[in-house]
Amino acid sequence: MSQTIRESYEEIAYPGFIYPQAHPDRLAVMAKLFGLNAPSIENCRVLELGCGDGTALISFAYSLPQSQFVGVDIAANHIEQGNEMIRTIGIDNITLKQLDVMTIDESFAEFDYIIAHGLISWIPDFVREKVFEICSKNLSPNGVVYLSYNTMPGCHLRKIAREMMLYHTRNVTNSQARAREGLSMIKFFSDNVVEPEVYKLILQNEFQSLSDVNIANVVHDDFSEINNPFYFYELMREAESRGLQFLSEADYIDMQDYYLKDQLRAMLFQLRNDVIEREQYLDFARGRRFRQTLLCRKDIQLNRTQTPQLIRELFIASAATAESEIPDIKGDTPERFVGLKTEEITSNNPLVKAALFVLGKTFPKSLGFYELLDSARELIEREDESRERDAVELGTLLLQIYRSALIELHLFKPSFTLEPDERPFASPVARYQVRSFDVVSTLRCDNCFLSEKLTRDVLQLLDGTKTHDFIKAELGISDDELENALLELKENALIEK
Amino acid sequence: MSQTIQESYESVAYPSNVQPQMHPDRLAVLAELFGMTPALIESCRVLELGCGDGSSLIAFANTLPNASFLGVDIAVNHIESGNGIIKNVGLKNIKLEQADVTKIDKSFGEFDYIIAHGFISWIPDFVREKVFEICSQNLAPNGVAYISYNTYPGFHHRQLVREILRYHVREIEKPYERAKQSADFLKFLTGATNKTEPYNLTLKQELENITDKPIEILLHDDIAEINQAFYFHEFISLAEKNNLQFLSEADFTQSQDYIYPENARAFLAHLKNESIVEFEQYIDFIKGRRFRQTLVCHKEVTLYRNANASAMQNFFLASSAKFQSNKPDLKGRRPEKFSKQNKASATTDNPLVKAALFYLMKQYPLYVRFDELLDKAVELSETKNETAANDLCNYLLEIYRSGLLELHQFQHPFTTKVSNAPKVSELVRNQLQTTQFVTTQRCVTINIPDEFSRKLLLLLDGTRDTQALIKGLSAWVNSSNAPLHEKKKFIEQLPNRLKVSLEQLANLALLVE
Repeated sequence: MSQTIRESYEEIAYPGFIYPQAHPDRLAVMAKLFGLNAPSIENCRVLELGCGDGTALISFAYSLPQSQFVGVDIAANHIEQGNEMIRTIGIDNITLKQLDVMTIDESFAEFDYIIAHGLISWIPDFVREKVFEICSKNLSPNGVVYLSYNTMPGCHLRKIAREMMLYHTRNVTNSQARAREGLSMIKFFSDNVVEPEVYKLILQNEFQSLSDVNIANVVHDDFSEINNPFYFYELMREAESRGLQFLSEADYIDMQDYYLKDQLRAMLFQLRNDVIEREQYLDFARGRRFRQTLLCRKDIQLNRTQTPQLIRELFIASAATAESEIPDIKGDTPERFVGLKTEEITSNNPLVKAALFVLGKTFPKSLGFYELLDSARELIEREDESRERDAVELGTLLLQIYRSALIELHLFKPSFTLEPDERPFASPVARYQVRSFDVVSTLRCDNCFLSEKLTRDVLQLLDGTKTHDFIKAELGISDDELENALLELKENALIEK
Repeated sequence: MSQTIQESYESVAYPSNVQPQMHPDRLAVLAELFGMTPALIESCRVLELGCGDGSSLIAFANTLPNASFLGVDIAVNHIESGNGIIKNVGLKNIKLEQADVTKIDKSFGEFDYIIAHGFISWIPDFVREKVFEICSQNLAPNGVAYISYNTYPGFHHRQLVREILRYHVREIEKPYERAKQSADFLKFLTGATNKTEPYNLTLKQELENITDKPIEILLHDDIAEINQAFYFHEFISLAEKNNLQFLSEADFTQSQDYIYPENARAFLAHLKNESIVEFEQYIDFIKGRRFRQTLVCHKEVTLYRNANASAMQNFFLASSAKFQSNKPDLKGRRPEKFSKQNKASATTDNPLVKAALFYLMKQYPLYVRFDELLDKAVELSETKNETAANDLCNYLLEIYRSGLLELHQFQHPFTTKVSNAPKVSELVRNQLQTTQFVTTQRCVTINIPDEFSRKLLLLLDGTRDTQALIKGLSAWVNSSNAPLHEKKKFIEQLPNRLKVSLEQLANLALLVE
């Protein structure tokens, strides 16, 4: 691969974040919903191409101790950092290798899940072709591929800012300085553009999204020599030529159209039998700029109509809370439930309200379908004989709610506890990360920002050998302070025992 | 050149509007303003690459009978239709040839002005390189080349829509059907995504841009096989490779920064000191520019980058602006605002400038030589100042920047006096045989939607006096199917209507001596 790409990544480390949407759990859930029986995640083989320092893959590997993980990246320092983390936390089901993906061939063995996050838009054409080849030749028969990439038409707007910044800073050699100068240039211009209005708005928007992320992200994403957005249909043609087919997007909500205007939904409905076409027009309707696409082998017969029955085999979790203080669960008053971000749903159906109420109280723990069903029925005092009827109804309703991302579906049950011992044991992955970073991977495999230094200090000490008293003495903190820190860590699924 | 491009233009002709901003008159004014000594336009040699049916070139040739014009285009039908007009109008100073520009070499001769409008963004790379080569090899030492092209960053908006539309109609073959379906889909998508996100506003803006334009533009510009945009700095690199340098934009108002806040202007001013190319590039960044009409000249030419105000003394000047006040104060220091319809406006309290503008407005559409303007301005404002000439030059340059003043190298050949036997150009009468769009003597395309005016224009061949014109028009009225009493009434009103119409035509610069 290009020497410059390698050098650029060695110069500035890409901050280690986890991308939960690439976890084998998510890939397997989506596969199940679309009629593919993917290999069991408890005992699978996972390959990540362009794994960076392996933060995501290491977190995945820790969460699935019986599965095998291999990560490759061109940047030697990334791999060294990752290996240092692996040695420290002491797991043996993951290998990170510094190598050029061009050298991977069939002898590299077969994988059930292949992940390439933020890779194919940032590499030359011939390397991308190689990635597709690997996704085809090194994928097990029922395996699933995850590819994220920048997409058109939305990226045209991003290109406006990128190309301007690249030109403006073309003589700046230090890449961080380059990114900072580029950013302030966009800011300057977005302040000073007079017309057209839409152009001003674009620059303001781009400045906003560029300043919302870490500067290292800006360096690698926007200032990279290569940043190729693709139309969805183009990439799917390439996938097809490699014997692969579109399975779904990693985020179910990304395939939905319920929030669009009627006439657009009517058009998309007409395209329902051609999934590529429908997805492409969905991008046109939304102006999408980023995709996380799952692929599988072309010869697999998928079933694109999700049956509610499938939900019964999955675990369900939700951070939903009712907006009103004392929601009317049993009656038919409409109640609005909101998630952690912008997800929301309003329902007057007692079963839905009860289920969301139960899930919200249980979160971050998940529930099996029947556990949820029975708790919800108990809450609204349903008669025993209606259980199967309620099961059918709840399955249908949950699938609908999943479209808005207010609930999560899982195959995997993470190993965290809400009732830690006297000597709490926190995730070694998070304990390692928190030494140098304020964002850590939870045991549910998502990112968690710990804003309080005190919480971070407590987390570092939770190795299962230290009592509450010891920790308080060590850090010189009060009962309450420790209590609060432990509560935050517990609720973020960071404590294992 | 590519067979498909030729075929596409042969099946659907490109709507032809005259582009006055590439008239040798404009190119020579800007060249002189920036310190060049351009060839006299009255006797110059002009080459147009990708001339289409020659609409612009024919209009130019019609106004400069002693200059010579050559146009080349790949599409046979375009050239044939242009040559048909040339023959009918009887123009002797223009030739259109069906030719592939990649075949043009030094033996083709030297030209004072080379123009390529709407061309280089729509041709393959190797043809584009050839265009630059021609603009260098076949350009006289003091020559000026005009090249228009799509430019970034603004073109990203258009490209976004273009790619969506091209995908949408990818299986449709018939050109008009492709264009129609494209327009319909853009309308649909815009209407169906009525939000205020930048993406949705982009769709809306692009829809507004294609609405009211002939559908052929959508076909040949937006969804054409090739539609390549360049950053200005990329364009300049291509030019420099061929020993050419940036001269100016054909539309001088496009390179001005006075609408921007103070700190943005300071930033741009700093760039301008460093490099004109940088300045122009950043002007594009701040404007989000999507289209350019760039003038280039040979690298060896020494230019004054700050525009030479004293060049005003060599020009003809005109202004179609109007004072806001009915009675502007020409002698005192009362600030007076003047503006062009829904366009630029400016305010000045300088008596000399106010008086000069007042005189220009009164003379419009006729042009005024600088010396005459100076005399009148001094007289009207009662200014006594030794630096008046200098001052006026400087002020007028500022007004030119804002687009409220026209500068010319010659008086376009039209008259504002209605003679006993009024006459319009052969070109206009010829155009009216097939369309309702005519080219004025100022080289502007205008629409003549009413039949009466078209009938009248056809009669204005310089042999008919008022009597004869009324007779001709009466015959036309009588031959219509209108009820008798209406015809009678119309004919009664004819003398009055004729008088008004002739004055209007004169003001539109349609009458010739």
